[in-house]
Amino acid sequence: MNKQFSLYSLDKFLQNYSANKVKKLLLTFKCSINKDIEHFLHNKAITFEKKLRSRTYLLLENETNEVAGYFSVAISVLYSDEVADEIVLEIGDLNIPKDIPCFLIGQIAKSDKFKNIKIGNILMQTAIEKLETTNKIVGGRFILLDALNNKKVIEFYEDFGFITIEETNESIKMIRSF
Amino acid sequence: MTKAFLEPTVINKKNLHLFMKVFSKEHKEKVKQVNERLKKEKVELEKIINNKLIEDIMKHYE
Repeated sequence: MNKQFSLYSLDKFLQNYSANKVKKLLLTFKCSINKDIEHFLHNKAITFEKKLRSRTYLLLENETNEVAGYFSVAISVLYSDEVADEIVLEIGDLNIPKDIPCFLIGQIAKSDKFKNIKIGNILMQTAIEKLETTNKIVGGRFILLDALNNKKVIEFYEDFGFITIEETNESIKMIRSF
Repeated sequence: MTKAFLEPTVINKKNLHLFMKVFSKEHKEKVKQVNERLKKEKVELEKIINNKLIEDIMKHYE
């Protein structure tokens, strides 16, 4: 791969430029196979960032200055109320709380223009690395992930150690430990 | 997906058996292997990431 990229948090742009200007940059991202992912970056990421609901990281292609891919992470909780006793019994760990603190990779995708370039690995590796750093500082038991229910997509996440915990026709929830 | 930020993730009787895999030896071994692989790949990653100045990027969106 000869292309060079820049990796910045969305927050870094918002600290220096107006939301309207930053939105122009975000609009360069196109994702025809998953409009939800495109819609989030175009219309919600800035609000989520300002309200501290999530943090978005942008991978920008240096030649075109366009968004090649992005991921959004957040703090999350895994609720296990109904089966908390079974979990404790099964693993013999009394320290597992009913509400398990986790991190969430809510969005991760590359732009249509870069679909033949292997930047998915860059995004995933960076996301895991950032969450690992956070985990070392504040704790947190697992990484949760929500994705399209698609064989290729699932295999990609499995390659990073994720396992499926919930499945609908449309989407899938996966988890991995640190 | 966006709904992941809005909806809670729940472990219940239906998905408990899937969730329990996260405590298995196999999963721990897999994560260890992945982490080792990611460490090796980090060198390659650093060759590709070459941060441009934000001002130079935003010039194109003035």
